[in-house]
Amino acid sequence: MGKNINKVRVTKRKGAIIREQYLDTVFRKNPLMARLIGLSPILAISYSLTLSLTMGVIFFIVFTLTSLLVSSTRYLIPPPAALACYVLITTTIVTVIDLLMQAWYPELRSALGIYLPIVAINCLIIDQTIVFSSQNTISASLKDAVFHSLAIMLVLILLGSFRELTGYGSLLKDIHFLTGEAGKAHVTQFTQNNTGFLLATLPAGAFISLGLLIAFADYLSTKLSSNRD
Amino acid sequence: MKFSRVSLILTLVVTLLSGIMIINFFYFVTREPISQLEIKQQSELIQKLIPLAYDNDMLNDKIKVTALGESGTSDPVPIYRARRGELPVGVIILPTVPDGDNDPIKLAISIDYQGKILTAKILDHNETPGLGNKNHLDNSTWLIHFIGKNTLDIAGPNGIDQISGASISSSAVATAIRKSLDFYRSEKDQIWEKTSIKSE
Repeated sequence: MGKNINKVRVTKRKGAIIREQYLDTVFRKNPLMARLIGLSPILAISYSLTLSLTMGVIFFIVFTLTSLLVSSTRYLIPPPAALACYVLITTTIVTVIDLLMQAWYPELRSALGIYLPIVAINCLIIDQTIVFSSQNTISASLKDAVFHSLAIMLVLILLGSFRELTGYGSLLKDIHFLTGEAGKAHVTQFTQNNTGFLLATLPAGAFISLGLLIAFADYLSTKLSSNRD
Repeated sequence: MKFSRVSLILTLVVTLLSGIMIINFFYFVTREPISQLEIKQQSELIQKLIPLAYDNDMLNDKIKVTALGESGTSDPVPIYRARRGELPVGVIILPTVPDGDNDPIKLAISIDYQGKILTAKILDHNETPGLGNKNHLDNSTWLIHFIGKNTLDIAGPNGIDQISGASISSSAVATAIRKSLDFYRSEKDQIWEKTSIKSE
């Protein structure tokens, strides 16, 4: 992971290179859709768009902060102690997020349940720190972390909207966790009495939705690459 | 490259200590808002739990009993008493169920003076969210079965149907409710006579 990104031809403009790297991360190397790792928190909370968004933001924060810390201390930490140190770093960050959410967004925190602390040992993040951040410069690993968390966020938003739409017939139904009672006015309800397709809200629905999403991304990816050639 | 044992241990200790310091700092920052939220939630909860008229300051009319905590948790269980004038109205018992699948489950059970369950509610749990969504513990329709019952109706944890997909948690909750009810009915006089402890 990451090593191929640097092989992009240098003759291209910088913007084009970044765009290509990002597309690559989203389609061909998307950690959720191509490698299918670290799925549990993502599948468990993606029945609601608000929760998916929150999880995306949490992933973004944890990803960028751990990458920053790990890559800036890469000469200080001896390899045999690396895994333990990285897990400690991630756990600290996740615990701090947990405490802050308990204080200011208690409802959102309780809706995320066990899946917030689980982010600390998510293999996506451990993989990112060991494989990339511990061996690259600060700026390279920051960029990689931002790309990856944006790709994860995109998948979360798509999954969250799809599952909430089909499962509850609404969008942003839990937004009041974030904004207080005022947010309830922004909920878009497409069906009556919160009815929807129950399967979509269950764990099985999460896997089916992810499968559909992967198929769609695969289709798009082949189309894009055939256009480019 | 070779690393000495000292440098390994030093790195781990330094990481651990800085992690502890950071978490501690945020703990102190968030302690005040979290405890305020808990107090607010408690008083909102009491309004919901005791549907009867009472006029005392329930949050401060509180006793703690250790007898209920015997099944695993050592913490004493708080009991709040509702009165109207001098007359007893009902109690709220907050037991903790130690034998859920994961962490302890916090319960709130309100019982009227006669010994009839008014409401039962799950305050906090870390059981797997989404497991059998529709029949999940959060769904309080299951807990409605307990309302209006007294000891005789719940002969054992099987007196009430367990939730399929959450049978361990639900039978633990049912047992805790039965225990609290039994305790109230057998120790009723003592519960009402004890002087209340100052809330911290």
